[in-house]
Amino acid sequence: MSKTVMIVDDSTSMRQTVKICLSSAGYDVVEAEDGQDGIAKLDGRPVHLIIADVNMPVMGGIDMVKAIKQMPNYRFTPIMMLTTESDETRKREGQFAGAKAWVVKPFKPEQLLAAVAKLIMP
Amino acid sequence: MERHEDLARQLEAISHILPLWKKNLALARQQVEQGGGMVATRFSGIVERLRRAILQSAEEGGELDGCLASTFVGMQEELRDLQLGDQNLRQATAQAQRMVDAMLERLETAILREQESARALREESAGIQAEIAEMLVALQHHDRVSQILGHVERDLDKMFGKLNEITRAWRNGDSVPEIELEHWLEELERSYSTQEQRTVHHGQTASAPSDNDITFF
Repeated sequence: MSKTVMIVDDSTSMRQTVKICLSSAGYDVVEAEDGQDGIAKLDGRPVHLIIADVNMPVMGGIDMVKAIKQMPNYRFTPIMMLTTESDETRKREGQFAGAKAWVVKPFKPEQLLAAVAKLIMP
Repeated sequence: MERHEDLARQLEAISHILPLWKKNLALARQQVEQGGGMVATRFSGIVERLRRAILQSAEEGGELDGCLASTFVGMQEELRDLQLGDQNLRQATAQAQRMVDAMLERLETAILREQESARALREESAGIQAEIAEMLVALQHHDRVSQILGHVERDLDKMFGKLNEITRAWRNGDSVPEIELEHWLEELERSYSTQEQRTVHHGQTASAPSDNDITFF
């Protein structure tokens, strides 16, 4: 059974970029345009990894991570932040919120796939 | 006299903000070059929009005090400088177009060869895969440029709103509304989403973002 990855980003082109990358490796991809939309779209479905931008309207990535960590069904779902932010303070915020990895854009597809494989439990 | 001094103070504030836009646009230009010029057309469009807006303001400010008009002209000069690199942008666009054309051509060739040799197709597929990877990186540069231009556009719109307020107040003989420079700069900085933007905001030189910065916690 293929694994499902949710990509949460307010930029359509970024979602498409990640989707092309992940689909080519056989992952199913669910898209959401901000943190609130991401939480709504979880909706009990099995999601093996969440990839989220940090700066988004409505609900940013770090707030979304905090909220997901309070959800019993998803508290152990790994979350990767994918962002243009490389500020160490922001990275620490992400880590303390419960993110498992911080990837700074632009990423190379093969390296994103390696990071995704590392975070998704077999 | 007091009103003239107020006006001069506001113009001084504007002169602090303009170089920041310029630096942000320079960052965007850098990204365009790194991203193979895929967004060069949009970038040129933005610069043209800025130029038109400045010209329009300069015309509407015809009745204004000379120093205000000359500041408008100064801003126009600054923006004209931004256009000097257009030649590079055009070259970058042409390069991106060549890349897309080459990719499509290889796809076409691969499909034709499919009937002839499964092995040849596999080789072509590997090549196409590498080119798609390059395109995906270029798209991310595109996204970053969009963000930077978005920040500049929003700040520019805000500035023109403020300039209109100043113009109206000046014409009506009212006191000139104040531009709270420190607050303005803080707000602009808060809108940034990249470390390079914050670096140039504080007058330092930003290094290009490195690919593949991955941290596991």
